[in-house]
Amino acid sequence: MITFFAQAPALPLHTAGKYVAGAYIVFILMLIVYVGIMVRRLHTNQREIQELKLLLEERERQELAAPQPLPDSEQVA
Amino acid sequence: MTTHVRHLRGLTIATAVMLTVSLALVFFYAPLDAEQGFIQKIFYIHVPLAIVSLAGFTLGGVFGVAYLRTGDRVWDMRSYCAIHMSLIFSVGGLLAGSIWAKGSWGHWWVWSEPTLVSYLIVILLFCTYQPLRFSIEDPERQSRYAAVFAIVCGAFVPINFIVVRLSTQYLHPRVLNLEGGNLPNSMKLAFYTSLLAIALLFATLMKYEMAAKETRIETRRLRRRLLGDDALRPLGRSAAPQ
Repeated sequence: MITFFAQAPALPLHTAGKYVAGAYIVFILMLIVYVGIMVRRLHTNQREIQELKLLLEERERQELAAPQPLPDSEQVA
Repeated sequence: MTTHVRHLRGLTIATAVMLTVSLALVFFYAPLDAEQGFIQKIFYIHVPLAIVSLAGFTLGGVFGVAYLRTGDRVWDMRSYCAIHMSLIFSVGGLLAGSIWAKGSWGHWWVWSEPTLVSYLIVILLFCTYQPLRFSIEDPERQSRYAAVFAIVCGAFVPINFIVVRLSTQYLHPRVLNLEGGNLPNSMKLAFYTSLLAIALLFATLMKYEMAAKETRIETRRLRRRLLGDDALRPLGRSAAPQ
């Protein structure tokens, strides 16, 4: 890799460098903003799933704690 | 969700690798343009973004046809995401082109240039896609009308492109044609690698977008099953497929 960069032509940044840098920075910034929005959405989804998971666990605990109905044979007796 | 998450990791890695390779080729392999010099490097980001965004708009129309034929909501979602991503890519292409125009021609925008104006018209046309969806409350009607809009505007994109190519008065350079264009091979390699990288980026982000939307729909479905309809937060009118 070092050899590759050593042999590569030097970038003439002094002439049109600011325009080229500007165009690529705009692209990268847009990409970062988009990924940021996606990350925020992911966090919202994860929070909601976590909330649902807790609700489900709570419901299961309540069902276990509730008195079990007697089996049919005992009810007859 | 599973349909869109499949292959997502591989696609993401391939996109990252291709983007890195394309940037290395653009800056360290492709020679400087004899006429424009270093500023021509913008070509490798501006043109792929423009091509992929226009192809994405057309793809949105193709997905719209599939939705109207099958009635399957997944095609509506694909159409929506393709147009959504194309809009983002087209804004990127427009900004990169504008910076290039400032560096080359001394102006951010040239109103007499048919290539620029026609591209802007296409973007503005598709900017009305989301307000159209948002204005319709019934999801069924929303999807149907949006599909018709996507088909009509998607068909407009290649027609518009051909008409502009036939135009004789332009400043905008024409470096690509059906015979391969007038680029040297080293520039061609860098350009096609960039084009592939941007196309992969489009596919990856579109898949992420769809996966996120489907996860949201799935979460709402779960909430409804667990807590009933009353527990759902009011969604209101939405531009995205529900």
